[in-house]
Amino acid sequence: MKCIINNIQIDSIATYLPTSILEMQSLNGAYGENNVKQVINATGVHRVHIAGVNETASDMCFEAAKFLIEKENINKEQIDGLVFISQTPDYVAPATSIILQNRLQLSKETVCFDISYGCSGYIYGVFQAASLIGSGACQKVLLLAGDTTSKLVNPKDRSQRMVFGDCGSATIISKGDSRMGFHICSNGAEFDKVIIPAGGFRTPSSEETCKEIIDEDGSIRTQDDLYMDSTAVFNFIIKSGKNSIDTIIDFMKWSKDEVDFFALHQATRFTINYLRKRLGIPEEKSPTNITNYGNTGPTTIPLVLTDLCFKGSKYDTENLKKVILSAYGIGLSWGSIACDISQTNIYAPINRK
Amino acid sequence: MHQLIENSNLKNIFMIEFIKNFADIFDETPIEQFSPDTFFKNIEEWSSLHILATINMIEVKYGVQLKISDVIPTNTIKDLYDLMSSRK
Repeated sequence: MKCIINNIQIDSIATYLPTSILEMQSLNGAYGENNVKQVINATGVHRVHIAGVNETASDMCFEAAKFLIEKENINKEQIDGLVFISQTPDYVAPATSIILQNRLQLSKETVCFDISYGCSGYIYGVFQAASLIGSGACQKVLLLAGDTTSKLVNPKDRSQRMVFGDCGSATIISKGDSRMGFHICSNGAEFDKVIIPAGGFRTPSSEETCKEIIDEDGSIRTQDDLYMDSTAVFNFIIKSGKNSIDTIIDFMKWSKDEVDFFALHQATRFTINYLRKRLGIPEEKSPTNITNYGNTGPTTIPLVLTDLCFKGSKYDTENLKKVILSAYGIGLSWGSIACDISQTNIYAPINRK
Repeated sequence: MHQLIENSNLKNIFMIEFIKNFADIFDETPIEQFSPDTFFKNIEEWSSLHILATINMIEVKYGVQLKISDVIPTNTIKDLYDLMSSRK
């Protein structure tokens, strides 16, 4: 699917990092020093922020939203749409977005959506928010994307525990004078490449699904835990990422050279570097910040922006008129957005050390 | 004889190209450290993700689909090149 939505803008972005930090080197005793070193070399992840036992994705998104509403002096009555992107909602039912409407004291005239996506989620969230505004249904939409992926991973699953971190984000999207291009794709044939096999209604959790399985690399998980086929996912990211970014640039009639910034999903440092080489884009235009945060699912894009792109930084937002956002993940699902964030107010991550 | 020399030169050119493509997978190891006899698993930067990137590079650049189990028994860059050539 490709489209352009006119008269739209990203007003502001904030992110919230939980305060607890897991240093990968602290796992030397559990996994062995050499193993830890090898994984760090490949992923580039030295530490991740981890949500507290009782802290949920909605709690982190709530904090980011509260911060943004206060800093931007937003009249809550003007927010008439709320989109919550997460795979770690508060409850199986009801939708967490509706709970957030109340917690944030937004108007009851607010339309709320929960959308279940992981790493590609921010792309879907911006598209949903832009569609609500483009259709005339909403004036100002609060997009909340966040996950506590650390709680989906088995503590004995070395390969994933050393990659995934937690984060929440808030983005305000409203009517404006810029335009956004979207390219979004799905491939359900590969639904089992990233999956939590049990716990839904197809395969409810049971004694059987709780049994530990040892992977060929020594990682241990059950059917109730997040599973990822690393080989398939790597190939998927490289192929779909390149295709989607090439497609959106072509669709917008831009050239790669004139793109000011590429905010790419932070899967692993190696994957980003390899994709960047395949695309032929310079490192300074697609930086990584995975070292301190890991893969934070649907918040990697807002986290790259809030961590690196702010006024006075190397990536001063004033210069970011042609920006590509691109992400790929569970589903399998992927997509890219072409947008102008030169007028966007971007705030440094809350709790950044 | 002339044909043999030409074939040999051509093979060298392909091998040099293959080494360049392989070296491009690495971020920190300079290209000078790569030769047909390089034991690539001994390169400090080498990781399991490099296996995936090697498979991807060979598919994209040479149209040959390999599996991890194909790559694991190989040791040198020449081994990889010969494996790729044998599947073309």
